[in-house]
Amino acid sequence: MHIPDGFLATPVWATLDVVSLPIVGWVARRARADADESRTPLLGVLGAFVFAAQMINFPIAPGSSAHLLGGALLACTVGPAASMIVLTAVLVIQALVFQDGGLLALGANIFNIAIVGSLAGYLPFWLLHRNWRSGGLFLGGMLSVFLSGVCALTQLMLSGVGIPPTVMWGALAMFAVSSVVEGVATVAVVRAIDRISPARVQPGTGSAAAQWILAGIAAVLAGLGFLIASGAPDSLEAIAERTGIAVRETHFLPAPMANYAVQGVELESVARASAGIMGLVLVYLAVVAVGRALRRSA
Amino acid sequence: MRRFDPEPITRGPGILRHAEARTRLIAALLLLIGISVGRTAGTFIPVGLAILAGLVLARVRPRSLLVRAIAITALPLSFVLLNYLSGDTERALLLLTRSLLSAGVLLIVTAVTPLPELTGALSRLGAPEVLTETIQLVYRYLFVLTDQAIRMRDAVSCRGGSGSLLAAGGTVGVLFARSYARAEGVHRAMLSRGYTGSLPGTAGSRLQLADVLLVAVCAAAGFGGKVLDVLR
Repeated sequence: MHIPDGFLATPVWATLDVVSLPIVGWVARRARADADESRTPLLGVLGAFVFAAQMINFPIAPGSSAHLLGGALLACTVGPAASMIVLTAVLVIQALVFQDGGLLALGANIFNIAIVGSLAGYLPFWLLHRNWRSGGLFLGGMLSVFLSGVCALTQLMLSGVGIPPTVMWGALAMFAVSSVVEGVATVAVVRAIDRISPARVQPGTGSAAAQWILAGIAAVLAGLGFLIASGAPDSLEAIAERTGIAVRETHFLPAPMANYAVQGVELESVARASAGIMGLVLVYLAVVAVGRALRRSA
Repeated sequence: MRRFDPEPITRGPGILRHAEARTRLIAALLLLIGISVGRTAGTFIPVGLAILAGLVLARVRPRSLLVRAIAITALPLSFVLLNYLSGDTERALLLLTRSLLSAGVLLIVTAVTPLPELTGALSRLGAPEVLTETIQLVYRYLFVLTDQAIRMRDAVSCRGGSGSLLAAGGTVGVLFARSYARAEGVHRAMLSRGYTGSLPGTAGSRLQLADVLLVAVCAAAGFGGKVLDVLR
């Protein structure tokens, strides 16, 4: 979804311009310093490929089809940094040649599609490529489209554009369907590329530092996330409370971390932080176990 | 997605082409910022008049203008309609005015600035070289690869494979592999023509009085009404 000019409030587009343009500038200057000069023609031709690939329709249901957007595919094939440059070039052409997306809103569109789209498209592939490659590609394709759409919707709402709840849910449902299609299409295309040229889609090696940074962010979010979490019940609990079903709630087994707090710890903040960290470790162990089992069965 | 149409929307070079590409871009940005911060008719009327003058000076064909305007404003109009239907008429009008005026500005700047001039201007304004070169190459191969994709799509349809997800994935996969191979060929061709790591850019002319005038007029049109509003 390309945001046109005239819709974003001045603080919103100005902030996103100030955030996005230096990021792309930094990535581009690093790309120039790191890569050999043969990379530029490749980036240009792959940018043209993104346009061209949109001519091929993927059937999603009888009578309807969708096309690949290509952010995750680019990120998984040439890396997230190069993908950001290519997608930014595509967005500039779309704004200044085809008038699709605004000029002041270029920073917002770059943020949503090039930066968030590339990173969200690459991260699952990078994390899962050893144990569950197709899953990583699918999640990458899905997340890149869904998060881009959610970012655009959020920016419009922050700018005061009136979006009734029904329309917002409709838009989110549309983004969800498009993101699943993108995930499936990304997997289908990468499988075809694998048959033609097997070594083409490989993730970068990734530094150990990056993995530790990621683990650190996850630990901080799990341990301190409760500080910024809403105290209100979630939608299902709220419905249960309103309809009176909540009083019938029963527990068949005692849970050591009921209500996301370690039982027996008196200080609530410590109980919640411990539960968050323990949950993170348990999920990590479960993912490692499933990954090993899948690798053994493959 | 429709076939890309590179047909020019102007009847030859208008007077605005005499201004330097950087100036055209800066003038457009000033008008767009003026539209973004404006809220009253007093701020929008001078911008509207400047856009009308720009359309005349750029010699934009009325039919092409109408076709492009419909294509550009389709998405914005749906949001305008949503706001109108939800009872917020004032915001709907504001969005309508802003999106129409912004579309007008973008239309003029794209009509009078071919892409090579634009990338040259971006480069002189400090955009990274790798980005401006990528933009040039994307535009150069856009039509080539799009035509190839359309031919491949038609070939798949002729073989009865258009309803299959695997066939579509295979087609895009082959297109990707061909694009990769083409990029290698392009690089070899560029090397044989003396490519040393940077593409020759469009030479920009020195800024002249007309450039200063254009920026001044656009700044006055964009912010004059707002300044008067504040002074009142």
